[in-house]
Amino acid sequence: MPGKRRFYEVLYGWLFVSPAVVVLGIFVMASIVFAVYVSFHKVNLFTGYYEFIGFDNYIRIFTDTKTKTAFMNTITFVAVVVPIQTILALIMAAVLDAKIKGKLAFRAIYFLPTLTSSAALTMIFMFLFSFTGPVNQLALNMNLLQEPINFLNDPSFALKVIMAMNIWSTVPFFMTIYLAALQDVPDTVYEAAEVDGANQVQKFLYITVPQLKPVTTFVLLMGIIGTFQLFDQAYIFSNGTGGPENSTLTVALLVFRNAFGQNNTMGFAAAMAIILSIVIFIVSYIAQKLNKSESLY
Amino acid sequence: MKKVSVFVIIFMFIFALAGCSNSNGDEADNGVKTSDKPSDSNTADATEVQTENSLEGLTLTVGRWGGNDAETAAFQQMVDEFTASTGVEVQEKVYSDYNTELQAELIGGTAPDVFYVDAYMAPFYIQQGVLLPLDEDEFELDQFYEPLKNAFNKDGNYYAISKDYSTLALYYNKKWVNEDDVPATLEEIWNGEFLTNLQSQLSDGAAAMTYNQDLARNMFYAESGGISVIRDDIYSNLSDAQLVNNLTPLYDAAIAKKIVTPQDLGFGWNGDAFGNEKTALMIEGNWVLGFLEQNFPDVEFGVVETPTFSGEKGTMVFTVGYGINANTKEEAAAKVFIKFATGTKGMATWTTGAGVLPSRMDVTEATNVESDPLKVPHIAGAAYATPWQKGTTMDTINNEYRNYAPSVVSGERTLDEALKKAEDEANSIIEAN
Repeated sequence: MPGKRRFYEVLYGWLFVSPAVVVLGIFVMASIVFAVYVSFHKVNLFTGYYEFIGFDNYIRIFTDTKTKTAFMNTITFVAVVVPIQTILALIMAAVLDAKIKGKLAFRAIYFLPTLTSSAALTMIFMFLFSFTGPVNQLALNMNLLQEPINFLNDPSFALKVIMAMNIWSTVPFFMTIYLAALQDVPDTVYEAAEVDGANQVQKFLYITVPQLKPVTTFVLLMGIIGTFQLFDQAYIFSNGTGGPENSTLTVALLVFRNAFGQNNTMGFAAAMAIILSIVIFIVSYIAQKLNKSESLY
Repeated sequence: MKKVSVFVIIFMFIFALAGCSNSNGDEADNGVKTSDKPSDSNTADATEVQTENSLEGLTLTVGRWGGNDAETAAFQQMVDEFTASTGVEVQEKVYSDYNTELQAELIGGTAPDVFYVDAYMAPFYIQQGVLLPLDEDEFELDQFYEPLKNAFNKDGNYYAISKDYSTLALYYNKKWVNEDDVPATLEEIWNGEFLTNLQSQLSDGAAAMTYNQDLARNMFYAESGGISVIRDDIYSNLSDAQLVNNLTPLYDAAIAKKIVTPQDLGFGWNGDAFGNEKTALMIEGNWVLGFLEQNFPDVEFGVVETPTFSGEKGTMVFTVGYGINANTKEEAAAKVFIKFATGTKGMATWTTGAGVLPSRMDVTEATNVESDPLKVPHIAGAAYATPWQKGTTMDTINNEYRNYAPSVVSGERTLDEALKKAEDEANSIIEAN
């Protein structure tokens, strides 16, 4: 009878996971497979025209100046945003974990930006950084600037505004994750350090940071994935053009522009999306390897 | 005992799956039907319907984008009248990101029977073959303004029927500007002393005039003198010497900071800046009328026709029409709907309710829209306006134009260089596609 028993066990197992498998299979796996298929074709989805063109779409990615700009912008964005948001989140979490008055209120306030929709947030930041907006006014009044900067239309500032916006809105989320992880750091370690005469900074650098390494890996990965896929803020900021002068053109935005609108180059868009996911995979892998915790426990 | 429980579980599983397929069926179909949508069987259905004279009890899906409250109410009223007279039920499908969502549905085979077609996107949809050709006489196209009718024409066939239109006109705030003082030409406004004098009366943070770095707004003077922004049907022609010449007055004024974009002032668009009295002049479409009335009732303003450019009258016209999905199963009902919506009665209901301009000349007369002095300049424009539509590559061309326009104003590039750059970038994309 054990054979039969085993059979039922397997059957039960499949039955229980099947709803998830079916849904994921259709909406995730099938979509990915279809995207890969499309990326090797010249496609018109309206007329159902598929022409196999091998690696042409992929080759175009490496010869096209637009895609080069988009990848450069995105990589710059990731390189700036991810370290800053991780470090800021860690510091803020450490501060909020300390015994300060009204820390619950602070936590709630700090968490608010994450709850704001990124569309609304972008509009607010565009107002703040507009030519006659508060940021310029403040800088002028404090004599930091001689004349207002056109943040939104100057290619050397546009992406930086989006960076600031992105950091501002994502830090609280990661801060919350760090805060949760901090609850797991045993007090005994800190006590031992105190006995050895460590000060606050030393405790933070030599206990908190290493203890949180596994969480840092998670935060880094989430940050890298999130920033590489930057779309909505760049789209709203530039009205979909990626301007001024391609300075806010991200890979995801370029994928969108090639897939929809009048372009209808779905194959090229799919190829670019696949290259983007490969890049994300590689960068995440490197980040994770670099941050590998030397056995903590 | 065990067997029973297995049956129960299998039963529950099947039940759950059935439930899933009911609620998710539509989406699941999207992925499957992409390429093998049988169009033949549909036409067979359609002819079947056509042979029946009564359309009573049919349901027609109409896709549109959301508008303001007045538009929604007017559309509803028009639909009610239609249902009362034909017995065809209309189901609305309202989209937010219209062209993206509609394209997905067209590909997936779930698009509505009748949908809004923006003249700007019409060449693209016509090229993809998703629109049914419509008969000129059946829809009384002789009653329509010429530019509006032709916006949906390709090779002698009409693919959508214009439902209303908007043109650009010059708006001025009466607090600072007298109608009689407004110069008669755009060159005088931009390059004369008018704006400089006006600026001195305004408070800090306000601009004399706003403008847009967008071919949708700039094209009619960019193309002045018979030059086109497109050459060889698809390629960008922005660096043409005459075109550069045509755009020079605008960018000279922008470089001199006589005119600014609404974004420079911290607003999303001209209407917002004008309503907040942060700009005294703007060139806007008639959609701004309802917006100002609703949000800024205290602002006193006037409207005049867009001033001439190089001695010629010009403005842009934007129109949207109703088109029929080439894969519809309700072709007969769809035609009846469009005939009603773009006919004298339906268009009158829609345009008076929504406060938009009727595309038909007879409805313009019948509804007496010309009694509204604020609309007269817009209606006058319909006769000589340039439609905002130019082939299937305008998206790319305009994108690059908007991309490089700011560098002219910042002084980083001359207009010449920027337009050359915009042209080259656009053409390399168009070529690769």
